[in-house]
Amino acid sequence: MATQDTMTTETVPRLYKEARPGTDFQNSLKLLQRFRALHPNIPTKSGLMVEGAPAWMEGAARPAGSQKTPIGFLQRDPRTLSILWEDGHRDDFDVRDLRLACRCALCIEEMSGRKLLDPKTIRSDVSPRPIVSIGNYAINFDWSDGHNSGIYSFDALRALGASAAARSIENV
Amino acid sequence: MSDFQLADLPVSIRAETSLVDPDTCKFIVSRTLHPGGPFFFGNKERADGSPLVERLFALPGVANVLIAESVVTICKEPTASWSGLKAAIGTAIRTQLMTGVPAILEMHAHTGTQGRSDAELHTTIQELLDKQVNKSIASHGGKISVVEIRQQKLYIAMSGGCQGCASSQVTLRQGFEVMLKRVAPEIEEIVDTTNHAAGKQPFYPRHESGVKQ
Repeated sequence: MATQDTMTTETVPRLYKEARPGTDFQNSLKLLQRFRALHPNIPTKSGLMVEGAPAWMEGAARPAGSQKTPIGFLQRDPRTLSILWEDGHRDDFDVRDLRLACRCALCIEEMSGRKLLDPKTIRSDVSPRPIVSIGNYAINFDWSDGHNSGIYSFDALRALGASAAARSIENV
Repeated sequence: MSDFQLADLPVSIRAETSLVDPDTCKFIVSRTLHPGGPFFFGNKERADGSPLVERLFALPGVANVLIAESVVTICKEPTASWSGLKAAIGTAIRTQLMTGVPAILEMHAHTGTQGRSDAELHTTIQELLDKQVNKSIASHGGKISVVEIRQQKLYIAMSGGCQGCASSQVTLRQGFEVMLKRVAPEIEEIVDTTNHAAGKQPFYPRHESGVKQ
């Protein structure tokens, strides 16, 4: 690109080695600082969303590994969250799909399992703020629409990923 | 010609229908469409002046549009069908990338009704060119400059990679004109004064006996 509108560097120190091998977290922060000083008019941003979630550990994947244990969370693009499972399988979820798949009592009627959440009411720019791990069986998203009561068990996420195989993907 | 690599690379677009909401489809593009964001357009009116979004809302059945860097999420009307629509959306995205102008107009639209002088119009249009258009088409090696404004007509010249480029008219009519209408609705016509055949090396040199397209 001939021009630069924003200066970006992402992720947290713990994930740095996996996300940007060969680089140094402190150096990146210094770069942002220096860039900011040189060009105060160009916005510098640093965005990340993984908090307390397991690191992306490609090396820990093994075929005999558990299908229900995530060994990595990664924001692949602004709208896609990838989960790497211990058996080496990777699921790419649309972040709004994850919001729509919430199984809390406000979104799914507890007794009947009837859906209470109308997809039309969730804007397409909904996104997770921090992701927090719950014990060793689930994660919780703090959604930008204010909803945060959903507990996403690893079992349910893996099943959602399996159903994703049936969705239509095509090149246009 | 290494300066023009970006414009020449093939664009791949992957359409993924939502797992949960059959009316939503996400289009993942191999190129950034607009930096920053996400930008959400809940209706047609909000799209005014943003070339890509106007083009998407022109397709029948598009209900709302989200653009986040290289990802476009489209929600369609429940009554519309995806068949044919996905391909049309892909074409709209490719056309946008071909124009080289920004997909989204971030400058404020002009809503005043009183007439502005040619000098005031010139300032506004120069601002649009400097702040948004030229920054973006510079990545294709091109540039648009104002020659003059006379009787509601804007005379412009296209230089650098634009001169002689087969896509320059797409840039002008599908991109720049859409944005211009929004910030300077007084302009009735854009006249391209560029001699696209002149110069030592226009983007596509003319061959007298060349193959006609």
